[in-house]
Amino acid sequence: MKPRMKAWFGALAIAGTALTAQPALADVKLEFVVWNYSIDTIQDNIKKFEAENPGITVNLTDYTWPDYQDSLLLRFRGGTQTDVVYGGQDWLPAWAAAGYLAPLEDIAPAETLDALKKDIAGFALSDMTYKGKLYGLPYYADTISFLYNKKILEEKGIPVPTTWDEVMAASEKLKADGMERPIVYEYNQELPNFFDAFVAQTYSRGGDLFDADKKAIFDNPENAAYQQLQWLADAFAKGLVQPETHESKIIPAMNTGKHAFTIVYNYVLAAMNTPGEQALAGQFALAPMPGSAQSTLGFTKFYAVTAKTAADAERAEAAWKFVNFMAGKPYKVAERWAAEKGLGFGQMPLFQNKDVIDAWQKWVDVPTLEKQVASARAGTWTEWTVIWSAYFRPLLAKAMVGEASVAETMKAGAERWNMMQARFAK
Amino acid sequence: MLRTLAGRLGTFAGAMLILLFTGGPVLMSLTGSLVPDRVLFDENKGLLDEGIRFDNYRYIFTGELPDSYQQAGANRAMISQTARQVPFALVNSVQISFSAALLALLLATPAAYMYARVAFRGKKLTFMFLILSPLVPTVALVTPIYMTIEAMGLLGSKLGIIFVHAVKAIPFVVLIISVFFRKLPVELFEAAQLDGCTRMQTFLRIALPVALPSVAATGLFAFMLSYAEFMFSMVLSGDSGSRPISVVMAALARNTDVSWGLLNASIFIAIVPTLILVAMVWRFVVEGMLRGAIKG
Repeated sequence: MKPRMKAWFGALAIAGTALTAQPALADVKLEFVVWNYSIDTIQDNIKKFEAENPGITVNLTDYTWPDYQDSLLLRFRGGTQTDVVYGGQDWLPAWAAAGYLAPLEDIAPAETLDALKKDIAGFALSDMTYKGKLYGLPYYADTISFLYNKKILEEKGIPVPTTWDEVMAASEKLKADGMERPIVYEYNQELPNFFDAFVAQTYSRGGDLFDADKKAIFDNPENAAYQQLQWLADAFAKGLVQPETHESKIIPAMNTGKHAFTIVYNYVLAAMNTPGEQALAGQFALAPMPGSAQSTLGFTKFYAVTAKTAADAERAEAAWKFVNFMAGKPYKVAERWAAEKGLGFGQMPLFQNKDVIDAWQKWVDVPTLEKQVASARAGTWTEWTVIWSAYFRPLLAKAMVGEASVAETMKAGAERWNMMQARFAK
Repeated sequence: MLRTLAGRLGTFAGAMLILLFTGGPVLMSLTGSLVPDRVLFDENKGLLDEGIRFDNYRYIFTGELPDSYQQAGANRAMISQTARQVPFALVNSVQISFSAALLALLLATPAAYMYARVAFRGKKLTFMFLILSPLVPTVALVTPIYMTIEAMGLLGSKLGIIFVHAVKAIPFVVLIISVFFRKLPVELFEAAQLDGCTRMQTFLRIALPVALPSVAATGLFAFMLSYAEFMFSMVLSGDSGSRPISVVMAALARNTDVSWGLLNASIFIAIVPTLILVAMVWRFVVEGMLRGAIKG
């Protein structure tokens, strides 16, 4: 080979090597926005992702939980580069309708998504779906649970209630035996949880507040929600209920041993059973939600990708890799949140994960929880649900304590819902 | 005699009431930070039944978990890592507040002199505009200011927050210092003019040295405005590198998943340096401001 040819081949070889040595993605810096829970853990997860994905770096921005939604909307409207965010089931309809978020179908391989969907709990999948499209993968999911004090029930010879009538009967027996208020209830019209707990009880009776067309049907006395509100009003009227303004107050209240039952999100059970911190830790257990269906309400917070990012092929590819790392198989990050922090999850295979079982069985019966999660249902989330809920919660609160009738409350709530639905449809 | 005694008792009662609302929360934070949650919430236990513990402070400064959360089966969700940002956020706050106060003084002191001593077209109108501008609700300004800082490429930086805090402090600084400049005897400026001083020389060599105590006091006031500001700090700071203490405290106080002990320890750490600073300099602030009000 002539020297000049050699030089050409040499140059081509160098150029080829240089080209093939480029990473699959040019350097991308993703902007990841979260609310500030366990930032160190998130940063550590990001480091692991960056190590596995050279060429992609992730910048984390966090806001306080109460200001998160407003801050994020400011970023969306201000055009601030935002690639991956924490989303929530209650915000999804409004964010998706406004075009802030992109369906994962737009950026992820269909077969990967299909495989992931099969593993996700039904309620979680529904929480992350808007108009038939999937907008996220679960970061954290939990269900509302019926919790009881095992020791108290055993001592009094009371079986674990399986219907609301049995809860009432058990509470009346406990009251007759000297327990002043056997049920602790999170009673605060300002909190979305207040409505969520009511929906969970409705689901446990096998009913729903809305029909398939999302019309309000709970003003019918035969409706499960109507019956459950009547049940709650009766329980309050009989002096069986100790109202507490926040779940954080329910934890110490249950740990006084003066109450036997409560209805709260499952993570509260973890706090109630924390040895070293709680006086009666270990005495509390989860029972399937009382009622014929034993179903409950679940909620899901998830990783979502913005529409702006989805429109940029390079960023979209990087964002999907990141979301898939944080919430996809083999669910290492979700496993870490569950085992280290006790956070719930939407990926059902984690119920068979040894590390998760080892960590969780210290405060909950894992098979019972798994059944509860599998049967949980999502809330009815629309563009107007949050606004309507803020209207309905004070009515609900009044009806529970007998300041308004159940019939009037349900009629007013249903009328407002149907009116808002009609307005939004326009 | 009886009247004097009644007066003293009244003063004592008034002082105690003020102490209850000022010192009470500090004392409660200190107690809550040293006593485990399980004792705090157990009505059957005395506050000091299990002694005092410094676990929460140890966690904030070293990251080592409180003893009760190191037990098997402990739910660590109540241990917020945000608490570990408190010491660093204090440093951020001091840097931001000091810079904002300095910038506000640099811009507002000459402006205050102009408004007090120089006649120019539009003086009344611009002064009114400046002084009344703080009446615009902060929330209404969040979006435009956010977009401005974003356009400047300063989002998530301390510099962006410093600019906004300085701008927010300027109306107050101009108002307070211009009052002082107005009270200075006119003969002082006439003498300077006769000696051939330019307007700038009169400001720098005559007015400023005389006004320095008031300027310093107003600077401290601007420092405190910035230190306590939350809304802009929250939307403009991006991560712990630029986040001031007001935002970190809000993150802790408004997060119900944070243990009471950790929250109280953070509150105590956050307020003690502020209290010491205020106790040290408040006298000078008041004196400096009064000087502006009564001079001449």
